[in-house]
Amino acid sequence: MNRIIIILFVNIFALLTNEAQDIKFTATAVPKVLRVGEQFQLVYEINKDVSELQIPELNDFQLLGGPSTSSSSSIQIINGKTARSSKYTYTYYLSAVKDGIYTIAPATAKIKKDTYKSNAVKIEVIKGKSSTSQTTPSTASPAAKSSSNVDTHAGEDLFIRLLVDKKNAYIGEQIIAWIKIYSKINITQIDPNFKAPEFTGFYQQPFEIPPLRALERENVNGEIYGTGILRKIVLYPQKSGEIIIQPFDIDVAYQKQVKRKSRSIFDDFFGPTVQNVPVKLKSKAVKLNIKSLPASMPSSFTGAVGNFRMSASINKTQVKTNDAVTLKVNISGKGNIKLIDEMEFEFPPALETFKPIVKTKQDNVLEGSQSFEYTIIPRYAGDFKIGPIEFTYFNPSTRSYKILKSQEFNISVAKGEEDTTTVVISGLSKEDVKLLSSDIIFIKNKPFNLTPKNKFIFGSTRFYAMYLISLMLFLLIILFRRKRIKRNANIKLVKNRRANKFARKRLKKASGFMRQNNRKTFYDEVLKAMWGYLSDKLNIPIADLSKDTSREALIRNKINDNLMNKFYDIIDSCEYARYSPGDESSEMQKLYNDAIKTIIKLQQKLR
Amino acid sequence: MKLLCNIIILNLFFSNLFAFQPDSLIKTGNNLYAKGIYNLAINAYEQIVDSGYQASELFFNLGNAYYKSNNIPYAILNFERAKLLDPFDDDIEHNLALANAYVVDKIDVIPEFFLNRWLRNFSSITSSDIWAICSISAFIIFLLFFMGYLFFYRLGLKKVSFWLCLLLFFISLSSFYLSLKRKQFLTLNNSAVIITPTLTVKSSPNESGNDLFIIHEGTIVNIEDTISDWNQIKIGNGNKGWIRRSDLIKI
Repeated sequence: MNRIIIILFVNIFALLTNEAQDIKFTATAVPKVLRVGEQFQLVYEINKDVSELQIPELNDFQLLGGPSTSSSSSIQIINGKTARSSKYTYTYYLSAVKDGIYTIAPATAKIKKDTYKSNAVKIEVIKGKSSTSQTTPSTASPAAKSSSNVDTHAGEDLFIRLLVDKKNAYIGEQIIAWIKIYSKINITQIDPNFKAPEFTGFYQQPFEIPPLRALERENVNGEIYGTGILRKIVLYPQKSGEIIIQPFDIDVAYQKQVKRKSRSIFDDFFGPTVQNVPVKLKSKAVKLNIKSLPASMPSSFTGAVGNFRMSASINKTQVKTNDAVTLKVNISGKGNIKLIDEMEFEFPPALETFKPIVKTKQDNVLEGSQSFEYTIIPRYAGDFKIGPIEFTYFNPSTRSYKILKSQEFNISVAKGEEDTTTVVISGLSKEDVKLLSSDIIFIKNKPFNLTPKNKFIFGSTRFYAMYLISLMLFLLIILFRRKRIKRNANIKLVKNRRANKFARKRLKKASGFMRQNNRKTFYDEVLKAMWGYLSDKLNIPIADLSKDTSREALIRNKINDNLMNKFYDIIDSCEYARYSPGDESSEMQKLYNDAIKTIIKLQQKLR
Repeated sequence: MKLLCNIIILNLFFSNLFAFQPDSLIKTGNNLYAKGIYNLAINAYEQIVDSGYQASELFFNLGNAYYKSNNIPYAILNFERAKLLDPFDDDIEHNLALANAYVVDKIDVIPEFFLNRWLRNFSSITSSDIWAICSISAFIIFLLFFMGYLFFYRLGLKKVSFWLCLLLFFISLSSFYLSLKRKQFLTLNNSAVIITPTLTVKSSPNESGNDLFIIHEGTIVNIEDTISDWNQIKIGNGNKGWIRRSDLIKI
């Protein structure tokens, strides 16, 4: 129900707008440039019936006639829709009185109760030449004034020019060039396929202009020429320096009056006889000065020169892995839009990106837009940030680089469902850790020990002293030990050596006591001699000496039992005799002899 | 706030200047480095170096500070010094390689004789002092075993102590040699870093000498000879020439 109402409303609205069609009210002067005394038409056109037309005061001109009115109307039916259009024309015939540039103020038209204003019209009137009085309008042939020497005047009366809108430009800046023909004489033919100059060093783009039908009058240094633009081109300089556009040729034919030898009245009746004369026109060389762009180029500059706008959009921000996202960057404006390189952005490495699809739209030759469509496929889940996207262009009018920045785009990527199924087959894919950039390792913050510089244990006196001290200690120990061993050895030897001597001394002493018949001391002395000898010989202190210890020592010294027994017998008998009284001296003598004999025998064995 | 912070840092810095304490200077330097004030950190570290102390970590940190303030030749100098003290540190190696990436000259270095290299590496396992202590203690133990050899009566013990004594004598001798070598590597080190950005090497020790070749900052050269103000240098590929002493700094 709602929808029907909306449709109805829309239809009614459309009808209303159809009815209230735009009023077009224009004023034109034909021709715009004229000489004093020449006639011109001031034409007002309106597409609606006018109840009252008020034209401005035309004091500067002489009104010759008019207004003559005409009207036409047409009805178009397209797909059942009727479009009605009508045209009402009011033409005033005027003539210029004085030279100068005049502006005819807008006229006002009253339609029902609304008033409309036309545009103002500019008219240029130049001083008329006394020699020629042109009363014919522009449609008439200017050849009337031409004489037989047209050929020589072809350079003045008929020439061609290559014009540019600026002579100094930056690389990539738009330069508009057009080829214009100037003529005072009646041109009948212009080679439509003439060869335009080769604009080397430029990228060129032609304007589409309608084919030349009638020449427009123009004031060139006080002369009225019929002019026409043959070709219009946009040039984009590609290199810096002085560039000369070489001259070019064009074939033109003009009408020339031919005098007949016999002048009959028919000649005048049919008008003058004319002849088409071909002529080659040559243009002049044009010098252009191209400046290179300032060096302070931002890194994102890709060669755009002009005045641009940028818009960037993304089609979705919430996606699943492996879903494509489209980032569209649109650059529009006036300038070398076709020559912009594709922009390189740094996308997060987890996003797979492809080369952008570039679409160029040309609104007209000077303006257009270029769009870059980046397809992004997020391969991993997570939140990613794209941008801000930067676009830099050079503005030749401000002579500076301008950086446009888009907003940031945040894409949050969720894990896609199909991920799990594919992973099962392919297994977990591992990745190397991506090294983003390398930097030095951070300083060592742990406390550390400082050492004095160039101080070494090696080579110091302390160092060598350590060796020396330890070596000396070692030698001292060795020496000390040597000495002790020596000393010990000496004592033994002395004792050993002196054992016999001592024993003999004691025994001598004992023999003395024997002669005195002092029995007790004799036996004591013999015992002392015997034990003393053993002690010295076996190196056993007297205190430790007993029968058992001495026997062991003797056995160790490999003394035979016989001798041993004899020895102990003497000791036994001595000890016995000491305490038993009444023994003869012969007994003492025998013991004494035995003792001497045993000691001698022992002496032989115990070396 | 920032000004206040700076004043505090400066105060800290200067208070340390007056009451010289190497350990707190290290801390100040590290803090300054962490804050990104590299030139002040360099100041702090250089003071420690000037007062006659050294440590591979100190040179490493100083090299880092120089690297961060884009002074590549000094960074290389300090990394090399740190490497000399601690040749087996990966961090030093890594940073030195990064700093060397900025060096313009690409010189094919003639490899050192392998025995020499082994000896250098082996002696660098530990410091000269440790080798010296090792040598002394081995010598003392050697003497003890020698005594044992002399005094033991049992033949087995005598034999064992004899061989041990020989072994220890060898250990003592070799660590003595290594200590000597390590010291020589540190003190008789003739390599130097070029600090002049671009330098023309002359054929004789005066300005009138012929220009032989050009080297750039950060290149490591060997000092071969010295005459008054001039040093004869030898670069990695074996070329020799004379340059002024002020153009290089010894490692």
